[in-house]
Amino acid sequence: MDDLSLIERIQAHDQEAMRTLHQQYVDLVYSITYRVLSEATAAEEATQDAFMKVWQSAASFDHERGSLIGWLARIARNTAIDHLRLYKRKVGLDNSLDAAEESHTLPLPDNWQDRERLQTLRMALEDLPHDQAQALALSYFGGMSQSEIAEDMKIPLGTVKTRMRLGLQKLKEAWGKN
Amino acid sequence: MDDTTLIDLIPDYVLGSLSSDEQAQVDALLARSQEARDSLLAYEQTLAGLALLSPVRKAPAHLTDDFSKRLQTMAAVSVVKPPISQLPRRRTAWLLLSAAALLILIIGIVFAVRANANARQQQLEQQTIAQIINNSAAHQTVLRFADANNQAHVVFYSVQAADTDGVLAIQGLSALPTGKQYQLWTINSGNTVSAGVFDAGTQQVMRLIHLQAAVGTYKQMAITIEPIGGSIQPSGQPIATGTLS
Repeated sequence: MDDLSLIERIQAHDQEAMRTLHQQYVDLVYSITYRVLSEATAAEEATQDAFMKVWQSAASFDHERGSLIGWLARIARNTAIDHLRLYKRKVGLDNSLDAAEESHTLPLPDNWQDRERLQTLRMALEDLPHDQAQALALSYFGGMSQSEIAEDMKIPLGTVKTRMRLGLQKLKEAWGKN
Repeated sequence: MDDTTLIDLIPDYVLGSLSSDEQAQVDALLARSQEARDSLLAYEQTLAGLALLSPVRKAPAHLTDDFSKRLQTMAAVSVVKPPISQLPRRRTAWLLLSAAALLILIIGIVFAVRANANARQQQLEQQTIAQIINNSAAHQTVLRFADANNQAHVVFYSVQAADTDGVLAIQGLSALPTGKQYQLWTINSGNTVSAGVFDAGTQQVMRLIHLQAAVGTYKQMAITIEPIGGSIQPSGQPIATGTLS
C-alpha cells in the first residue's frame, strides 16, 4: 500500500493501517528520536509518542505540503525535542550535523519522491562550514535556544543567529535544486 | 516591516529565534502571502531532510506490539445504555391516545418557543461576532502551536481592553478522539481561567467567547485538550499559546 493510501486509511481511524505505518517506519522514527535523545529508553518513549501524535493529528497531513516520510520526520524530531526539554537533558557541544555514511542511512523507499533531494542535501551538509553546522545541530537536534548556544559557545548572540540563518539558507537552496 | 523584510525572517521563524512581535508579523504574512508559505514549506522540508540524514538505529522489536496495545486501549470506549423503561399499562385506549396527543402538543409548544429564543440568541451572537472582527481597531492574537506540524490557524479577536467578549477564529484543527474537547484558557500572573470549550472544524469557525474578566486583565491565552465538558484547570501542557496585545 502506498503512503497516500495508508494515511487516508489512518485519517479514517483505521487502526490496522496505523499498525502498518508503525511497522514500516518505526526504525526511521526511532533513529531520529535517538539522534536527539542519545538514550534508548527515552528514544523508545518519544517514538511511541510520535506515532500517537500521527494517529491523533492524521487529519492535518496534507500531501501537497510534502511527503508522509517528511511529515513523520518532523513529528519525530519535534516529539524528541519536547522530551529533551521535559527532562531537561543537555546535549554536548560536540553534537554535530555529520550525516551518516550512505550505507548506514535510514531505509527509505526506492521510489520515494525526495530521494535525490536528500542526496543533494547530504552533499551540501558536508560542504557547510563547521561553525554553521554546529550551531544548526545544537538548535535542531539539541533543542537549544540561540541564547543558550551563544552562552555555551561563548560567542555573541548575533553571531549565532547569522551562522544558523546562513547555514539553513544554504541547505534550503540545496534541497530546492532538484 | 514590509513583506520583503518579513519574508527574509522566515529562516529565523523556522528556527524559533524571533521576538513575539516579529512572530506575530510573520504569522500575519503567512496568512496572506503564498510566497511566504512556499518559503516556509521549503525550510520545513529542508529541516525534515536533515532529520532523515540521521544514522539508522534498529528499533526494539517490542515497540510495535506495545503501540498496538496502546491504540486498542485508547479506542476502547464502553457505552452503557440505560435500560428501556416499560410503559405502564392503560386500561382505556382513548385515555392513552388523548394523553399522548396533549403531551405532543405541549412538547411542540415548548420546542417552538425555545427554537425562537435560540434563533434570536444566535442572531445576536452573529451580529456581535461581525462587529468585533470587522472593527478596524480589533486586536488579533495569533495562537501558535507547540507542534510545528500543526497546520491549524487560530486567532483571537478583541477590541477594547475593557471588553469581556472576543471572537475565536478557528480553522483546520484536527478532530479529537471521542471524549475529548479543546479548551481555551486566559492567563494572568499565574492565574489560569477557563474561557470555554470548543470542537474542531475544517471550515473556518467563528465563536463568540465570553471572558470572566476584561480582556485587558489577561496576558496570555492557551489551548489544551481536555475531557468533554472541560476541566477546572489545564490537565496538560498547552498545544497552542498566544500573547494578548
